[in-house]
Amino acid sequence: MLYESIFVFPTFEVERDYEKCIVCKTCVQQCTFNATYYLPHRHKVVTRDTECVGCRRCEAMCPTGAIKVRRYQGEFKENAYWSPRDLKDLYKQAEQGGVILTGGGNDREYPIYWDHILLDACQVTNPSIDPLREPMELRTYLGRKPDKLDIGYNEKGEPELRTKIPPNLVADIPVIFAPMSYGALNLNMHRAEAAAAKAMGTYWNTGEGGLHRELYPYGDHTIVQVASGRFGVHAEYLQVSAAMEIKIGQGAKPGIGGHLPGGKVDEEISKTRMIPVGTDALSPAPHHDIYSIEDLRQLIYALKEATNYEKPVSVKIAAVHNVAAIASGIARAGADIIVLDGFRGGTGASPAIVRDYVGIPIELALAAVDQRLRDEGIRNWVSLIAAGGIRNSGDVIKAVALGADAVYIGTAALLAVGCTLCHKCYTGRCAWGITTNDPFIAKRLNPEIAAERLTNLLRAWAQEMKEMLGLMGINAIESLRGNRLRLRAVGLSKEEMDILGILPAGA
Amino acid sequence: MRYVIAGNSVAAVSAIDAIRRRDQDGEIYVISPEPRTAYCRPLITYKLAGQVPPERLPYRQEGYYRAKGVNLIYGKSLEGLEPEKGRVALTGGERLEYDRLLLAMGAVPFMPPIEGLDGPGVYPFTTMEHLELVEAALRDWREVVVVGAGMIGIKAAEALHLRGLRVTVVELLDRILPIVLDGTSSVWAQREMEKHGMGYILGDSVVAIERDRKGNVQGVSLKSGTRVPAQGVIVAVGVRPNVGPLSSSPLQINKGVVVDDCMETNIEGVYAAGDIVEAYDLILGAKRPIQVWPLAFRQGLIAGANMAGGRRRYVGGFPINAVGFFGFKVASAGLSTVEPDMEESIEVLRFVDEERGIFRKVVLGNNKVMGFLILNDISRAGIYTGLIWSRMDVAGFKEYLVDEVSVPESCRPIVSGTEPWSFDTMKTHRRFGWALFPLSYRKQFTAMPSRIEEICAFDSEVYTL
Amino acid sequence: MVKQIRRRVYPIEENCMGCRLCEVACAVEHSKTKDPISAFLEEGNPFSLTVVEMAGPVSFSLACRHCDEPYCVEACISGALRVEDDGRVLVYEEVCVACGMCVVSCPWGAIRFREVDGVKKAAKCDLCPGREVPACVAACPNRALIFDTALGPGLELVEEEEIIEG
Repeated sequence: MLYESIFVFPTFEVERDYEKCIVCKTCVQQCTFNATYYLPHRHKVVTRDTECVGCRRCEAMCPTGAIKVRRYQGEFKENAYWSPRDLKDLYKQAEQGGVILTGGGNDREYPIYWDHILLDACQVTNPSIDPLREPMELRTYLGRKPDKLDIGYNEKGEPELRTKIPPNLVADIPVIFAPMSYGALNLNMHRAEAAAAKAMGTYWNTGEGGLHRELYPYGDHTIVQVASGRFGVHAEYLQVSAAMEIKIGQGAKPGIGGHLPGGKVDEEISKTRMIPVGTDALSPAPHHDIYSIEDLRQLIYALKEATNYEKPVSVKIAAVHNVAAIASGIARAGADIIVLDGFRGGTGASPAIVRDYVGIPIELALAAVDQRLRDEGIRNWVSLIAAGGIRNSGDVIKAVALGADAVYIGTAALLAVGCTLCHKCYTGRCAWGITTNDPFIAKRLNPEIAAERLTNLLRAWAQEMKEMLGLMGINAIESLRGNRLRLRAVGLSKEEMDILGILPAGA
Repeated sequence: MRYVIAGNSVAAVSAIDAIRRRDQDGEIYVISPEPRTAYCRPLITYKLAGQVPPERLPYRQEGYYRAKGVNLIYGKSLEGLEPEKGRVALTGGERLEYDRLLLAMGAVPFMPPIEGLDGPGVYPFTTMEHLELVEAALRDWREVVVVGAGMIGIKAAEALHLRGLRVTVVELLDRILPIVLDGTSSVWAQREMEKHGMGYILGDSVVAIERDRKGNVQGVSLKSGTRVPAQGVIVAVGVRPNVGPLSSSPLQINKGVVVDDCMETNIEGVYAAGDIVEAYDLILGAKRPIQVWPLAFRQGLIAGANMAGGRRRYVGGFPINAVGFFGFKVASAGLSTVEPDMEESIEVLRFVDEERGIFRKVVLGNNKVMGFLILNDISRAGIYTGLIWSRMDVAGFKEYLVDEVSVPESCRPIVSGTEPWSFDTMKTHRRFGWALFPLSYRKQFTAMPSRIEEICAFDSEVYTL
Repeated sequence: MVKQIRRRVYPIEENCMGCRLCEVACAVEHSKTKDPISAFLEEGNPFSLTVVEMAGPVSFSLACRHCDEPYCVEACISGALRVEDDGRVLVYEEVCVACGMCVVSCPWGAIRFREVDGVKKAAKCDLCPGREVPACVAACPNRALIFDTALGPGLELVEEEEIIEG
């Protein structure tokens, strides 16, 4: 196109049916990427395909259904080795000489182990349970459990528990909103998450950007994060929370830090993160005070000390090759919860090369960690939360059966409020108003509607999970945890099945 | 409780409504000098022009009075007030007692001292009776002189012109619609009239009406010596509060009947509303008669509420006018004639584009809107009126008050220019209106359907010239 | 005091994203065919009775407030504007003489002239007779317009100033 680099090839094209287009210009107003524009003298709306990110906001908002966003029809010469994406990325780098950024989760073609795992069901010899007729428990306790229970009798001769139970989180549904920071998301999304978590009796996680004061009343349902940048961490922040989480790594970008561009740091974010307006918020890749399990232990106990040992402390790590050994160390360092974030996990901004090629699948990491902790006899010291690519209630059930106590959902939560996975989170122009703080765009996310949608999603999943538990003859989610016998594999290799600890279908 | 309302136009009607909202049982008497129900006085020029059928003239039908339980006394006027006896004198000497009295007798046309004024062929133009007289005389008329280029004069002239007569408007001042238009805008308006073949003579006055021996009008002679041939003359040099019948009463009368902020006169139980009163002018900060329809309605409503035992305050008013002729529209309120260099304390914001016919003027005093004048496209002009009512400080958005994409464009997409617009360009679009106003005002008035002037906290501060 | 049911559309500016679908819906609802494509492409001159106000990130859709004591009804010299029993303020087009007094009086700028078959008439929000919820409210994708049928707060506020007997 005129005045543009000749090396830019579109990914999407917007087909506009001019028989139906009433030139209301809603699509123009909605296209935050400036791809769609209006020509006043021709009274016509047109689209610059090279700018289109495929978010489909225009299509969703068009009052007459005149718009179709679709894959660009122009094609490169067929090549089984070089994909169009490779070509376009390469052109872009040749042009700009920089790192290719992206948002969202890994979208490359790797095996999806969830889809190779099938669930068991009861037939004849063991009765299934109808969740509509019988009680079904989805409540989960997250935190350290005692090694043994000491029970004694009081003076009246009644039995009583003598063991002091460490602090636990109680989640009515084993699904928690994943850490996504204020800054990456806007306050409206945080409001929605907080409200939905409260309504469903579960938790949400602040991410590393602190907690806006407006949301302190939701503290009982909030897990607050302490990350390498220590943004927004102060005594009150820790005290209002339900639990604290030390973020070591993120599934989408293991081993690298975070970066919130200064342009996104407005007044409110600056106050919440406790940094000056307009300055870049850089989270270092490592915690500069943690170079060993012993250092981690210091921070864990520092947080416990600061909150009078009343709240569990979680440690979140990305799923990497020796995750099992690391998890064991974390458990021994005193963490109450370990979060494993798989390579499908999302991000607000990451180099594409890191997102696409670093980390391992959560299914394998989870199974490996659960097994290792059991082998070492310390599984009860920690709860495991699986994160990174949980798509539906089936994934939740399978994760629990593989050993998770609960799961985090990040991408799924964003999808529930409108995300279309265009992966432009890092631009700050999210047309659906989720990953943007631009006051023009952030208004598109009505926290009330978003909270309702999140609540609906969790309610639907809860119902489905109860059905699945029932058909397996199980009446409590905690009874399924680590119950890998109820899983069978299809199309997996022996090694994969060994790691997952499950039998092939038919066995 | 007996309510007596002298007069039967808009103030009377709104008073009846207000009384009946609070008092379903009291007797209401309406003294109607004209033998008809309340009608839309300003519509008589439309009727004359043939733009409105006769059945559209009534403002309220007989059924309305029946439903409200009103006793209508047709064909009689209030001739005197006897407050010590609590009664009024009607035409023919009849007396009517009242507990609460509303004086809503309106105004009467002012007839200037012109030689030969009395007699057939010379009419004011404010009532149905005048309309009937003029309609009857029309067939003998080919040329008409309209004396006075105010609202009534201009509308009557337009109507007569549309009826095929040759119309000449004579105005003493140097511009037409002198109480509404300023220099520039009156030139535009004149040009519009010229375009349609209407003649006007400015800065001159009629000294004599020439009649033949039978008394028929032959023409008028002007102060300058000019003679204009005409068979009919419409006198529209303004109206005066109809205080004649009250002159011998102890009522405090200045130019009009003086009322307090409850619309009550100096005599307890006697209220006044409409063109007859001298009520508070919100902009000038003093009492004066403002003879416009909406204020008459409002005053009637307030008076009615107070007569029936309510307690409502008349915050004040200012002139609001909209007039159109040959499709040319003029909208104004408050101080609209002020020229930029007239007063130091006053700031005049103008946007004038002759080619596109845009004329917008807002008059500010101490950063508060005191008046405005808009020609042609008057869409959303009421927002300015709202600004006057609210007395909002407009310093924060002054530059948007009368810019190019101002009021009319604010209600439709801006189509000027050939620059393509995208999301980023749309971000910069500002459409004049409530979104520009301070949050507190915006929130309050977009959420609440209440009267702006009543909610806005009025301290005793007034605009001062 | 006679209790009246009030029906009003309230804008919620925090939720308005300025997409102007309310204007589209209003124009369609008040067109002859009530079909968006025909209304805009065939009938021509689509006319919305609500206006999306914009100033920077602030935007909201503003139509008639259906006031308790409407300025427009006071100003109407022809009796074309009336307050209905259900609280709606309506224009009777056949009575309107397009004098413009209502346009100049409405502080919200909610009344404008609409040209129908070459004749200008005052036009304003009629709360979509025949629809359960006005078109603009139904069309808003972000709940930035609320249709309230309860007793409005404004009415109570006026009452504070009035001491009513009995």
